[in-house]
Amino acid sequence: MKIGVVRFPGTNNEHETIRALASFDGVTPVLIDVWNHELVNQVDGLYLPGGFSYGDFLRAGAIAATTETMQLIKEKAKEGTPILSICNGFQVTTESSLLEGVLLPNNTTRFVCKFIHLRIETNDSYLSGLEGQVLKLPIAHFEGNLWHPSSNELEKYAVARYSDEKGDVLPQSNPNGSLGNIAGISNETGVIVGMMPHPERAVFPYQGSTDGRLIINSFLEAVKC
Amino acid sequence: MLTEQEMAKIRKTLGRDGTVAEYAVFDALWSEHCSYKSSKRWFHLFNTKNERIALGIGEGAGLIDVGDGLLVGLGLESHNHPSAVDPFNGAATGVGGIVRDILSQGCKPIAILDCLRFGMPTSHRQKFLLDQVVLGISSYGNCIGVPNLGGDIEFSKEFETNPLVNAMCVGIVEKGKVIRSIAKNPGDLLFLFGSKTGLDGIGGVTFASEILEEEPNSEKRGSVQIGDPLTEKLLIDAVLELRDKQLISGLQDLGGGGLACAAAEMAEKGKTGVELDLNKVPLKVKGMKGWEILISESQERMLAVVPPEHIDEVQSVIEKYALANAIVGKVTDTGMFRAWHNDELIADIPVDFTVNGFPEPERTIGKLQTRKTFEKHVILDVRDVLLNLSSNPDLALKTGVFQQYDQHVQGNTIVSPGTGATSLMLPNGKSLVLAAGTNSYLVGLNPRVGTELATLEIVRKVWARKGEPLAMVDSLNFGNPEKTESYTEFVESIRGLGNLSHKLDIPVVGGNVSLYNETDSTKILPSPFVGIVGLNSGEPYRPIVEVGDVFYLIGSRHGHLYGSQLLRYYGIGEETPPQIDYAEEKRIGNFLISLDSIKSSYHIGRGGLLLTLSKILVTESVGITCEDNIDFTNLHFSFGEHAPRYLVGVSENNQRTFEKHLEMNNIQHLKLGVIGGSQIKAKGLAIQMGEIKERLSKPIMEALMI
Amino acid sequence: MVGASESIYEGKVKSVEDLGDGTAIMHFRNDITAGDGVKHEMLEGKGAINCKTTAMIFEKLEAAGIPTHFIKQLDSNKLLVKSLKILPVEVVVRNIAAGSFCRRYGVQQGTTFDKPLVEFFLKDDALHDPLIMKSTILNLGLASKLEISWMESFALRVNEVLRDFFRKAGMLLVDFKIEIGKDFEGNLFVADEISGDSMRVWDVETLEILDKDRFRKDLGNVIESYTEIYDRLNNVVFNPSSQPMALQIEIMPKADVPNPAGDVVKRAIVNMGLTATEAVSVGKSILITLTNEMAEKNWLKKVNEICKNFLANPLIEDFSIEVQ
Repeated sequence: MKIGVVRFPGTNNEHETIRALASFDGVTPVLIDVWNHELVNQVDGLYLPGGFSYGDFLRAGAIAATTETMQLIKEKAKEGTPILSICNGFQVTTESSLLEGVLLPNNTTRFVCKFIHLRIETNDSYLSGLEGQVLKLPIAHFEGNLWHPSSNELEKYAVARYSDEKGDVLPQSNPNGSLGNIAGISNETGVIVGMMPHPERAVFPYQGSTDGRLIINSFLEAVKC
Repeated sequence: MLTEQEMAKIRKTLGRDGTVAEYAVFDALWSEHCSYKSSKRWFHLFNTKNERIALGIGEGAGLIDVGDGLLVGLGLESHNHPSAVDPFNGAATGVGGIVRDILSQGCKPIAILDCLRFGMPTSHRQKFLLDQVVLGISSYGNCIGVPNLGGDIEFSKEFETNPLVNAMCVGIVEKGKVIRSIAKNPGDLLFLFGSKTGLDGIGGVTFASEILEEEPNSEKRGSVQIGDPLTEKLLIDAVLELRDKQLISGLQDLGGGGLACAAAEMAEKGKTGVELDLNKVPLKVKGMKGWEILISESQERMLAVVPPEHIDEVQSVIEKYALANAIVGKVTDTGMFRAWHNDELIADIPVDFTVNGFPEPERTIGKLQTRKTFEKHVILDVRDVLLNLSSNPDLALKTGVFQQYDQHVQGNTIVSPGTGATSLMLPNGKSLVLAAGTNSYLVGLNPRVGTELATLEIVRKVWARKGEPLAMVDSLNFGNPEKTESYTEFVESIRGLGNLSHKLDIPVVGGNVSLYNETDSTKILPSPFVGIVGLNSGEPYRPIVEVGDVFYLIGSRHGHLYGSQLLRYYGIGEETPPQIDYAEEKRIGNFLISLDSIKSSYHIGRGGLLLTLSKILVTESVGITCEDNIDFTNLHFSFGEHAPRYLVGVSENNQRTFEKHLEMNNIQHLKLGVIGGSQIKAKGLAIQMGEIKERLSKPIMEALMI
Repeated sequence: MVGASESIYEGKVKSVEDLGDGTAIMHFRNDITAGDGVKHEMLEGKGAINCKTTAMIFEKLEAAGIPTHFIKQLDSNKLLVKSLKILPVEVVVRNIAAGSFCRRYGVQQGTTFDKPLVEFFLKDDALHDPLIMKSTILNLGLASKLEISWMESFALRVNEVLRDFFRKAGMLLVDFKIEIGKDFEGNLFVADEISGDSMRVWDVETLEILDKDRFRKDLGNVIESYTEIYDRLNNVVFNPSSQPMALQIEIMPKADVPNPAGDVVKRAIVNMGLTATEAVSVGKSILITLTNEMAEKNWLKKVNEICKNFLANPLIEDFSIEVQ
């Protein structure tokens, strides 16, 4: 199974993403750069990792969203290719209108990096098998404050919420001000999932949590189908 | 500014007056920042070699062999003056500079640490400086995708006009792929790439070597460089591709002294010459003068030495990353540094003279006065002392700062910043243990012994996380070397550091000197920052604290109050430094490394046992119930510092084995208590963790609220 | 030919026939009027001289990178132009005080301004084309903020080009009027005519009046003067260069969108003593400099699209564009 790891200029989570994917049986990660983006058409699933694409100048993810690479990815999305977009990748997918909403700067106006807990919600995406589970994952972002003028649009597609370690969704477990503590959403068909937390940084025991494996595994299962 | 003595030497050697461009080049290369003219003469005091050191002092990164064909690169540099003028950009470009330094040796950057000093964070100005420096480091470091793994932050009024911003970078490179900063083959091409060259940072090194004016002058902004982390990230990717394809024969970052310094230093190392055509340099602004192009310190630029047969491929790699680039000259066998601009030869000077020809300035060493007399306060209560010390920003939790840095990018982080050394996974299955900082207050009391004690604390941090200390880098931040007192402090500190480096066999593989951190009315507390990297060859180690764990104090029962926080705030304690027993330090350190049945371990640092314990418990959100024989009213026990003392946690059923192991190795130990509850409970002391947490969190939280 | 007659608009001195393909024919008649049409005469050759003067001037403006409605001259009295919707305001640029300006403000005729003045007038004969303020134009919905800034900026550009052109030909450009038209995509062009009818021109040495004031003040030799303007301009070599231009784009968060940066700045502002601060909104400002190459005529529409689809996120941000 080939998973494309898309690197825009300024993307910087490609190394841990490739290492994480390669630790799953039968997965070949393929690094896709803007200068060889035709590789998009040769992979079975797409992972859009975090970083600061094009320096995140203007708005996080906005410039990457205008690239030809993103056009190709949109085509693949139309065909139903599963996509997992993380952090800046998530910002790129909302800016490209593959996912609803917009990621505003954190309500703290600071970058935030720490471990958080995440409760997987009832949903129709490829994460539905994890419903009700509470996962421990790291976050690291400046613009992770998920927002939409109509909160229903987000509620409809919520796949995960920031919670405490017991799974209770509390205001104090919201690290960035996201509407309804929503950390991740899917698209209408459930084959595109975007979230701020980093599953690829919680894969090996030394990283302090291996819960990210569950998310990546669900994504890979969707790719297999 | 060149001194009269220097001008005279230039005229005499050249046999003529220099050109404007030549004087600009000498001014840059002979500045303290580039030439180490006041400091180099003391470097022989350092231990600089052992069998692990693959590349010592002299290039961008020192390289250390960690086995399996892997080398670790280290660099540490100050960026104080730019940060005083423009804290955001100064700090950001400080990070950028040190990253490119280690990149020059082909190292992939894998960690950043930073050592920061500010005035007390109560005034608007100091809060602003802290906020902007942290923001600068965060926005740059996060963007280039290198995790921030700690360092230290202290506050003292002596840093009010002279904040210190020092950044350290750690990288890795395979043995066969090391790049050197050298131009040894005449005929090779000089290839400049990265950002375009502009007027930012013209005269930056000269500026750094001048005494900073009392009030930061916004007109000096021209001397501050503006960072572009996106270009830096692309530069990293591009250099690593050039490295892997083995296309270049030399590489150096354009830092202090710009193109002139990089070209001259590489030629000096290769015993060659260089010719530069400045009209080829891609410029940000039209109409720059030749000398400006030579010494501009625009960021994110590197100069590669490329064999002509590889130039096309090198160019195509760089073009792929959309970086500005040009062939700007070539390596010659003339031994001369030559630069043309508009068909005019504007510099024609011997390379060796340009790099090494500066006349050593005379500096005077005196005898330091014991300056501190302490006003003794009556101590009422251990509890009050604990709460008061917790409220000090130096001892407070720095969570609010560290959370602004991406600690996990690259996915190798094992231990994040917070309590002691950090650590990170290497591709060969071993792990690195990292710590950096100093104790400015302590060094201020006694530069020689203070430097040893402060550095020893960093070494203990590394031992506590099972790292075998491999090597260190230093960055020596002092006052004006033209003043006897400041210069004496500087030399004394080097003597201390040199002694430690020999006694513990931790070679110095790189360093930086930042002098002139002095205004007319104040000079900084001397701050010899040291960054140490240790190797854990066993399983990756990640301390875990859980309810039911048993905590031990191991090593010395008591600490010293000399130079302790207790002495600093209450005036209570010895006023002469303790003797250091290096053999005993090493014995206990090695014992810690050998332990494999423990769950957690911490060095006992600032504020002694009680403060260290409190910080661990607050971080882990637990309490402790102490044994009946634990008596916190003994100040040397509770608040003593600067001794080989550690806190170790083991699981309940491991107690016996652990104690037996300690006895067998003849390691002094004391069972402190069992983890659980929500307070520190001991004979005569009961205090809620919530209360301590509030005190420990407040100073930095408030400082960051502007 | 019912359709054709419906598409013919008869003005006081010109007729415009819309050809229905995005172009129109502008017919210069021999009528000459003043005082809102109160004074009216026919002057032989007047249509022809204004037609060729307009053609020549518009060619120079195009060369200077200023978009005009001019396509080509069809015959001695007719120009082929773009079919545009003319905005209901006229723009007047003044270099030297004259005419209604002197009456309105009591300024001595002939006073040279330090910087050229731009005035807007409402096109309405019944109201005698009154002076109108920019805020009124905006309020009455006659033009958008962007269109107003475009008119002002381009009127000054036209002035720069023509002032140099006339000066080279030994004439002072005292003031002039232009009209602005909009195509179906929203792009703006300098439209109508620029001739002796729509400006004041004096001889640089003698200060002799060469424009329509000759008719207004019954000085005679109207056609001769108009011809002199044309001949003098036609005899100089003048190659205007295209000037770069800047677009100032302001992007602000919409009112109901969380603006954390604004909240933090507000706290700081309150701390600094402006305690009455109720809300702070932090947005961004983008300056685009265009080379103004002629290939890029419909930049207005493009800029609008770029703002909507890229520079601002319409979910959370509003934007405004101004020409500088």
